[in-house]
Amino acid sequence: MSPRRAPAAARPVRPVEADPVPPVLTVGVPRLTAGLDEYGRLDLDAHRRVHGGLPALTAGELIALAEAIDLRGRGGAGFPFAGKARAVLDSCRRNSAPPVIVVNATEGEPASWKDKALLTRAPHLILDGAALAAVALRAKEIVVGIADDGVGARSIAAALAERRMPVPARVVTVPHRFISGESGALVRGINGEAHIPPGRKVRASDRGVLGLPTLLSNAETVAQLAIAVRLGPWEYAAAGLPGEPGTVLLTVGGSAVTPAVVECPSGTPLAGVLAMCGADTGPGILVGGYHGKWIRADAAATANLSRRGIAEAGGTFGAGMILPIGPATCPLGEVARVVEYLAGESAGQCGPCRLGLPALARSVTLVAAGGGAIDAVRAAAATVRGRGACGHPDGTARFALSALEVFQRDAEAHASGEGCGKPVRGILPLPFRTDRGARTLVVDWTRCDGHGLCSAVAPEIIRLDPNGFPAVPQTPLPPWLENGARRAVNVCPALALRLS
Amino acid sequence: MARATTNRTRPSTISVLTLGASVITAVWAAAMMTPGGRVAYVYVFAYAEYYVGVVTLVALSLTIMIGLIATDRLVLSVRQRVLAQSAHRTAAVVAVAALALHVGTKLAEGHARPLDAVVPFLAPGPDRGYLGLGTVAGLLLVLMMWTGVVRARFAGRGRPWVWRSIHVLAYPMWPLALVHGLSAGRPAPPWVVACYLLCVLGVLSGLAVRLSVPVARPVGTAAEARPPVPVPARVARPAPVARPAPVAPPAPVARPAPVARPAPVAPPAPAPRAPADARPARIVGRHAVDPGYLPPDETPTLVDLAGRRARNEERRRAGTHTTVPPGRRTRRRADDATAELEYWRRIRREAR
Repeated sequence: MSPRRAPAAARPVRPVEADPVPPVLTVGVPRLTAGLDEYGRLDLDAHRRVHGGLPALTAGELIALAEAIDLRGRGGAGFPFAGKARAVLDSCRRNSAPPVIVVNATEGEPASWKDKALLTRAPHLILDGAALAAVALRAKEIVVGIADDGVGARSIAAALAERRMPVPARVVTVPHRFISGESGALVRGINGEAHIPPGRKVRASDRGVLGLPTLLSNAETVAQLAIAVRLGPWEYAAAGLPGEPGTVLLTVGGSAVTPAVVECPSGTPLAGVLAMCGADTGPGILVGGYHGKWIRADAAATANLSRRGIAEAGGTFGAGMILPIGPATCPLGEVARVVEYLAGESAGQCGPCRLGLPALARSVTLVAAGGGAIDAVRAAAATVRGRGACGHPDGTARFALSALEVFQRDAEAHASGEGCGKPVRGILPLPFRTDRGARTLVVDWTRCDGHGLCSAVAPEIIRLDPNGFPAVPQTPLPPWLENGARRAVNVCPALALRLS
Repeated sequence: MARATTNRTRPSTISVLTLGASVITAVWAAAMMTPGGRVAYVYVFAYAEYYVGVVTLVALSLTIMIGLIATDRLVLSVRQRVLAQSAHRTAAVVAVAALALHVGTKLAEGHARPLDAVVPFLAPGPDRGYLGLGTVAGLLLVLMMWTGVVRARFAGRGRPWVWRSIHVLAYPMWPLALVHGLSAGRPAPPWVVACYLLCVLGVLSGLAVRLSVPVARPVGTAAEARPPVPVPARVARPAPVARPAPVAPPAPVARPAPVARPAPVAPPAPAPRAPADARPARIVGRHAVDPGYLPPDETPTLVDLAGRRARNEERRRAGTHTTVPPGRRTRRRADDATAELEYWRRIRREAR
């Protein structure tokens, strides 16, 4: 009876046709996106013509360069690259083993496109950065981790085929899941294990791929490195704020009329970028993705695009997703959908997350439906926080709580029973859609008699409400939850459940 | 339930098939190519030919019994019902497998022709009728198996009543199988008859449980209707029990007890009750639901629900709260129903 959730599900839901990567826009002088307007995709020739040759650095030079430009991880955590490289060097010296360079281009966030834009259109920048680090640290191999969503796999393979890398390089595909991008999960995926975060924290710089010290960086981070080594620290700092030099790569989506991947110098006003993409802010903006925080419209009007600027506005910069909610959709309904999705993304290995996140999702859904109390959401969030192997429960709780804070007026309107009167339009993108084969659990309420067997066999999907009737998620199920859902369908004595 | 183990990956279909095929081949080779294996094969075959019919019928009876019992909501907990469902399925698979073995061995021995396994009542000889019953029952069993496998589809596209009406064919199938088992072939020895009698008893009691399900449905509302501590129900149903005098002054009972009625027996000391705010988990059906999951619905209604709840609470504390006996269909309206009952009772009392 143990619900074995295989990482490779029986019937994987693959996008039939990959979503198109949004167009690239630039504010100021383009760097990462240089030449894209002229060439579309930079193959090796175009890449050399636009960016020029690649100098080789020693380890000391690399670390000095990263320190001079204060390069930080662009995958969301913002850890200084120099510190990471130093830790890897130390570990190599201790173990007298060569390191492995891992480029994390999995980008599990459904709303993020910046790494995929680089993968599909400027893959050589990523490979340049990886090659640079590999030469400097005398790495054993380079691994580029990408997701299996069909975006960028061909491009990066073609790029690898047309150039020579200083060390062997390979591309590893991991399933496209929210938590696949977590560093521990990626390392496990590359090692051939289940691509889920490990229970015991092991720093990749100590023991990573093949047990070797591993320098794991986001794709944009290494691409920035490839830019910086050509420009030099002073020229690099010519753009952007003094504290955070250089450009940032953003994904602007949400209510934007023209969703785009935007490269702009750090410190660019957020309002300007939003106006450029034709985005009406509405009551709030989600910054930093589904583990990020919402910021209010008034704070967003004066915020600038840098880690510090966003933090001052009350958000986290994260991986550079800017998702204005817009005035036309019901914010709480959108938030409830996303929390339900995040609950389904739990790897299922930590109990508080496996059962706590669905409870959190239900409490948020209740608030959106008008029956729930905000305190119930707080209580559910407090149950999960800090109680998982990775940051997924914490990030999800943060997302839900900040939404209730920013959309307080809407929450009150919903709580009073009136609601905000706006439909849920699905502004915030979710990967599992019914038109792509994802299935939804549906209850025939005329048949359901509250037997409660479904919640006993699939507690991570179904719980009973106080009247004894099942509360099922409204969003399409991820494929790895389908087995549990099927079990629930099979045990229902009233034949009231179905997967459609 | 064990926690999800995500570290192992599921073995692929091909590897499972390969493993199964090689195991079967190995068993076949051992049975056919080693002297010991051949002896064992003969014994196993003889046993199967002789007894598997009984095994089939017992497994079938167990399937029906457990299937009937699994519908119970009064005694079994949800977990036990889930367990009973899987036991039902397992026993069904055993029955079908034993049936296949039974038919196979009988055909191999020449007790019946292959046609008789499919078309009933064509076998020559005196056992024609009883053999035909077995064929009919076997065909029905295969049909049952199919309905079990495709059950979920009836919940989706099909209609549940279609499924139910096909699955209910198990009831006529079983007596057919029983008669076939008792009468076809050699005369049944006493212990087999005893076995079958036990099966009949078991199925009949299971049937009783099944028939009681729609009648005796647990009150499904919240704690008001069904406190988790099993109260001695229907103790004080009609008699207006005099309020047990509180500790303080021996206040004169407000209303003298009606003379015509037997003197109210002093009620047993009420069980120590938890304070009202430390509410125990609600019992819904048979599962506890966290009371903090949903705050009480505060939507204004035409009926003074809050006042009614308060009155009920007070009455329960006083020990005069009437519990609705569980035999009645008071699923969602238990709260209102008790209030109504009490109201009319009071009016009648005052009119008297």
